[in-house]
Amino acid sequence: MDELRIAVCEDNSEECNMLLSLIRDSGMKTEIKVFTTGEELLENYRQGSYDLIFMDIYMEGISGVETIKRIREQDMEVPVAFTTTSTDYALESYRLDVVKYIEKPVKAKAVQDMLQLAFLKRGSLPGLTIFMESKRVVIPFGQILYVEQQAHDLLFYLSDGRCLRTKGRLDEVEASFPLFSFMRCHKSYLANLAFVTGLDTELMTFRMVNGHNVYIRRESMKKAKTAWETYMFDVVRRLGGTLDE
Amino acid sequence: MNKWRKFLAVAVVLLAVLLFGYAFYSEHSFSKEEEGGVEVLTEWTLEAGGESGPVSLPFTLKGLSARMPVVLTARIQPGPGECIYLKTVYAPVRVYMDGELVFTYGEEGDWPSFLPDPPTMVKLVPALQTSRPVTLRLEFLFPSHRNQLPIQPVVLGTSDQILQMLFSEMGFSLFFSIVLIALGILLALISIVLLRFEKTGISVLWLGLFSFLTGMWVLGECDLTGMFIDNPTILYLMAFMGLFTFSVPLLKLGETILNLHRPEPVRWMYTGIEFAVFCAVLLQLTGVCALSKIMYLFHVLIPLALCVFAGTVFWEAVRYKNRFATHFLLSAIVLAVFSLLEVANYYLFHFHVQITFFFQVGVLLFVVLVCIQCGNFLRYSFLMQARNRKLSYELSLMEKQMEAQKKRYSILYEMAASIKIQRHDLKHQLAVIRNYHENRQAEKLTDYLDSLSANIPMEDTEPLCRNEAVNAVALYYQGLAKKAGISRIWFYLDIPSDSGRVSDSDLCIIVGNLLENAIAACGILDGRTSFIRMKSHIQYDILVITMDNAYQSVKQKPDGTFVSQKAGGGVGLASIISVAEKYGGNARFEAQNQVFSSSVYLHLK
Repeated sequence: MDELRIAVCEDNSEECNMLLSLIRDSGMKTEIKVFTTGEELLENYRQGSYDLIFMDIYMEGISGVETIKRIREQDMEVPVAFTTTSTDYALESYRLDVVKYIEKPVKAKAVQDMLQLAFLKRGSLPGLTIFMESKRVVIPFGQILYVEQQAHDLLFYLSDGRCLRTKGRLDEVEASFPLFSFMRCHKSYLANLAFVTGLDTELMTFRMVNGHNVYIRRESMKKAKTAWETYMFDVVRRLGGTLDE
Repeated sequence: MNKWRKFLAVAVVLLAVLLFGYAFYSEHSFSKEEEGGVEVLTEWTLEAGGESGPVSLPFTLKGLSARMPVVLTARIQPGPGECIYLKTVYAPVRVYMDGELVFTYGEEGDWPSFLPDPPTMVKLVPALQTSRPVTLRLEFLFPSHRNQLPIQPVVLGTSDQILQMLFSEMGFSLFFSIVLIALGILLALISIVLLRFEKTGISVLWLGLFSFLTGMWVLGECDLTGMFIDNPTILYLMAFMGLFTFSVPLLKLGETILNLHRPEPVRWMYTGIEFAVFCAVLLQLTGVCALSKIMYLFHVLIPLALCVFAGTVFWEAVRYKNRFATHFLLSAIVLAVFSLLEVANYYLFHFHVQITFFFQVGVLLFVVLVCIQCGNFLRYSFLMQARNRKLSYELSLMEKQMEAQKKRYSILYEMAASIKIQRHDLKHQLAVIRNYHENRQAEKLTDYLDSLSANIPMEDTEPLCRNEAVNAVALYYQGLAKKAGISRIWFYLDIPSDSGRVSDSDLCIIVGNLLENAIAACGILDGRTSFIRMKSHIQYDILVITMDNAYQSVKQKPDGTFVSQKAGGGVGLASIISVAEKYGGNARFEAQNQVFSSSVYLHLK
């Protein structure tokens, strides 16, 4: 959980290399993925998979502003920094909760500040505190697909594909999870409805975004379906605010 | 459906096999010497044509000349209150007991003059009440228009015992014929009602007539009927007229409902039969030839008619893929096969079962199958009705899309025109500005610039959604809502132009129906309280559409669904649900705190 997971979206390789070297020079532990178009990033994007996005505004295909607009529809939390030559989109940036506006050519100071900000923000995300090898680790709720009880261990399946194992009981940690998106659908499973892609009524499972199946108690099937639907409907109702303005 | 068809076919074959089995069984186990207390008298002495000798009944005498006496004698020992049960087939008869004449049938003037022979009759004749044996003597006169005289065994027993025996043998036929006649009358009455609304209601009348005539035939043919209706002439006419005519309404039924491509064979067939019936009646009334003789012609005509019918249905089903014909095929074939079985039994097998038994079973199956078909037909027409309603709704949506697009084009056109005018005016405006500037009239310059910028045409045609079809529908209803005084209508629609496996028209059905309902619900509110807010979003290939709108009151059914306030009764919500379910999704409608919330989701892949 140490590395700061960063996505860089930039179609100019020279600019890109410059940004990458500045990030490396910052001395912070990072894990960087590079995308050259907005479409490529959107295709691979999942809620909670990055701690920070560096976004170029002018690119081939859809613009950086449009890309962030779409990302915001599924992830309100991830900090975004626009890298650009002009400040034309200042207003949009404000609306899209973009944290910073970094002018090109990028400067070491601006990048350093941004990384620091992202690091702090990640620390402040609501999450579950667990101990692994006597080290304290905070897993943001937004990154947990589901939790499984296996004998005396808890398995946390995360949105970036990792699975963390720690001692514990689901009955004890369940109360710490936010009710809005988590559902205890089975004796051994706690599912994050935000990562459910479908309901299999024959297998009686939630299909998760990573392809796994999360089991549902027979008697909770109807409740699970209603809860998942309600979650989806609520998420959409929250989009774009009340639109009243 | 296919499973059903196979099941029915197997059931029909099984039934035919069982029927034959039953026929053989009753043939070989036929022994009525003592049955339920009655005594069947089979051993007689026969005197005819100057010869005499013992004979065992049933027996058929052949080749005697008209009105030649045939005398049968036997000794009987009647108990108290016992009768003899007697049947005569087109032959006058006199019954003597100990030399005393106790019963006559077929004396001159007993029967109508247009009949050459007295019609078939059954009768209970009370036996002499003595304690000693009685000599029973039957004097038949050979029929004048037939070359054979079948003689049935005489039965001795109390009238109750005899009736019981007859019921166990023919009760089914009697019951069956009465059911058919009642059904026929019922269907005829129904058709009178139907004909007021629908021309094809005539088919019900034909079906009813078919049922009625078949029932009449079976009723007239059944010996048991003779015990209750003491009029052999009526029964004779019923039996033959029913037999001769029942295939006509069947053929007409086929012609009416099957919508045949080649109706000629069926038409020839029923015209031919109608003509034959007419001739038969004429011949009978003039006394030239009895119906009982013409029957042999109909033994060919009717199976032929049924085979032509089955053949036509088969041809329609195979050659033209006629939907109704396919459904009708099994029942038509069943009827043809059983009519052939009936004829075969009459001429070849001579199973000792009641005449018309095979055909009765065939007709019963036919009626059952046709009833199933009717059910299918009704279901089909209901489905068609629902589909038509959906299609007409899609059509109206398309018209609305067109209208919205047309409006957009005209706005674009107007804008282009105004830009042209502006460009034209630009030179003039620049001259005015230069003039103000040179004369240092700063205030006037500001005013002028303000007025200019106020006149710059505003772009107001930003699409509501990337999907063109949905956009057009949404724009249409936005316009409609504004016209209805609903100014607070917001859209936040994220629907791509490529919506996967979900068709544009299905999306439009959802969006259109939702907005139509919302506008109807808001329409009765004033502008300050009314609002419509529609949002949509796609995640993991699931499209979610939500809409909230103000409403006054909504009737909620006991089962939780909503009754529409519009005419047409909630078809809108039902079609939203059906589209959502078609794509593995669902729809939810909730009313709370003066807000009506509709939520729909569907899987795009």
